[in-house]
Amino acid sequence: MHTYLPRLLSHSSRMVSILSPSIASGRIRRSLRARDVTLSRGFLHAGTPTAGLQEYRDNSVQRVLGTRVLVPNKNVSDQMVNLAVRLNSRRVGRSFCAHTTAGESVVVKEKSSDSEEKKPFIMQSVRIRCRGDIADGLVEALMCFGASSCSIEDAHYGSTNEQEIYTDGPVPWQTGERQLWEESHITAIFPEEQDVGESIAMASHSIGFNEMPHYVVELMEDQDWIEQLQSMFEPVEVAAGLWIVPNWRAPPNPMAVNVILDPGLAFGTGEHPTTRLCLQLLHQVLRGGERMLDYGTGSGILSIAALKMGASRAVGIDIDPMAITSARYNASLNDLDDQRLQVFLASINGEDPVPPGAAYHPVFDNDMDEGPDNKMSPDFDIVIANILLNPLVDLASRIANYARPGAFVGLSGILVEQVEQVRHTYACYLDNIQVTQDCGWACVSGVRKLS
Amino acid sequence: MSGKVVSALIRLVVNAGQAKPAPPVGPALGQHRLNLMAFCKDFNARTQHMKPDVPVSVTVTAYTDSSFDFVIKSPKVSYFLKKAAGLQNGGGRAGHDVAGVVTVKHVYEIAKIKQTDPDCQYMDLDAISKSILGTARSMGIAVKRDLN
Repeated sequence: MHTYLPRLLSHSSRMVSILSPSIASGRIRRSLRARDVTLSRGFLHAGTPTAGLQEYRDNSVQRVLGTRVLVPNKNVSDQMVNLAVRLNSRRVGRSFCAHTTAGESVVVKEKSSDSEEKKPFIMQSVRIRCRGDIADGLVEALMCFGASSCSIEDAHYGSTNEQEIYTDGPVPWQTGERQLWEESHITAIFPEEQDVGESIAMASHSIGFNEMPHYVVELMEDQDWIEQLQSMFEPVEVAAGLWIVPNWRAPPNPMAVNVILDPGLAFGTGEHPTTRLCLQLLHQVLRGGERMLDYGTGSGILSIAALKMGASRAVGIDIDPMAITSARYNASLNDLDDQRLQVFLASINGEDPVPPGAAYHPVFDNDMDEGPDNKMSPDFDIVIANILLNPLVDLASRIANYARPGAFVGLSGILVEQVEQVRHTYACYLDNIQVTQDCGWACVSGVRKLS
Repeated sequence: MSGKVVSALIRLVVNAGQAKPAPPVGPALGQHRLNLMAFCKDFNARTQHMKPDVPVSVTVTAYTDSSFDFVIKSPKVSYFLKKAAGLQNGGGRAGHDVAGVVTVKHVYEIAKIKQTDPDCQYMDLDAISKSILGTARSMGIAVKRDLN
């Protein structure tokens, strides 16, 4: 595994790994006395033992996970102990603890006062620079050696050497043979505990490339890409007079029906064609006072829109607990309480998640129908299920039976080529089946048969 | 020139029908400012024909206007055969020992999934099935009419 180490390592010095947050690296350097030590980020390239900070095109300095240090052979363990002692000094206001682990490495951690605080989900994002013609092969190899995903970009993006590649459709599946750019940056994402250097070494080796590519590791937290996602959400007018607005923006048209949303990680921001199709269906059939069931509620967008357009009550179901939280929160953003929107979690074992009587208000509804053995069957005036083909087909009788005879039923989350299967499955439950389409997606709607 | 300018090519593996905005999808696509919800919905809808725990390889082509396209590839035939035969590893002595058994129906179902793959789209089910039989033989997996 060490065949790639540079020959500059003489037998009078040893390589010691120090894992530390970069904020400690200056202190580490001072503690070990600079002239004895070569600090580098990432990997020591043969012949160039250099310390230094890698700067990106935007001149920001990236945080680094690992620091490798060359120390004089004698008294390595003493030096490590000294390092630990010095790092514990409180002069700069942050304290670190350091300990040596088996083999020659030292782990430095920031001492956190609150040991119970929730650990954010952390991944390692590794940026590798390589020639365009090996990028593809290297990506495939990295995927085999532990990367959870990789992306290839133009290394010269943003500069005058930028290279524009055009394509008429998705780049086809031709592993190892395509070359997109002259020089590429690969961004590989690894789990926190993976040894990135080792994975990269094995990947390079496996494609016959014996030099280690130059790489930089950055720690990435949940927040980084979640914020990315949310920043893309703009107000959108999905039907005449109906807007979906993120909760950090003011509605562009205060007079319209505005559904305020904070989608978090649950589905449903209003931009997807299936959401549009369902909202248009609701817009068409709602008269006021209906009881609606939203199977696969996600962010609650369809229920909330229906309530704002005049429905009296809505019940939302989802298999994802995050959707339940999201839907309740979004309901509160629109001044809708528990009485108007109820949400239930569907369990994996497939039991009916909707309790009997859920369609009715316990006090104000007088027309509750008690079926045999005192069980009230849910009787909804509108049932919408914007999910996926398989659950639509598997749960057909349950979904159809939520609807009272004569109720409107809308089924979406399906591609145009999946319409026939849905139509066929629901033919025995629905009359007057119609299909609407938008950008390759479809909505199948109908009226619940009388018996 | 026609077409759109490519900003990045992204590779990842997602279980069929189970794309969510969480890792691995979230960070991989979020970094390039792609609409995660749209990808998840699209990917899940297009993999409905596969069982939920099948790991599907995806290549996403991201364009400079933040739109994207993607192509998917189902796992190798050897993966499906191993699962169908209930094996952890293929046989070591193909041609001598039988490591596992699958039925003709399994082969047919694997062929149907493979037919949706980009490089098998113009092959007929018969040709794909023959290829699967060959793979089974090389893995030491026997194919029977039915399991009795």
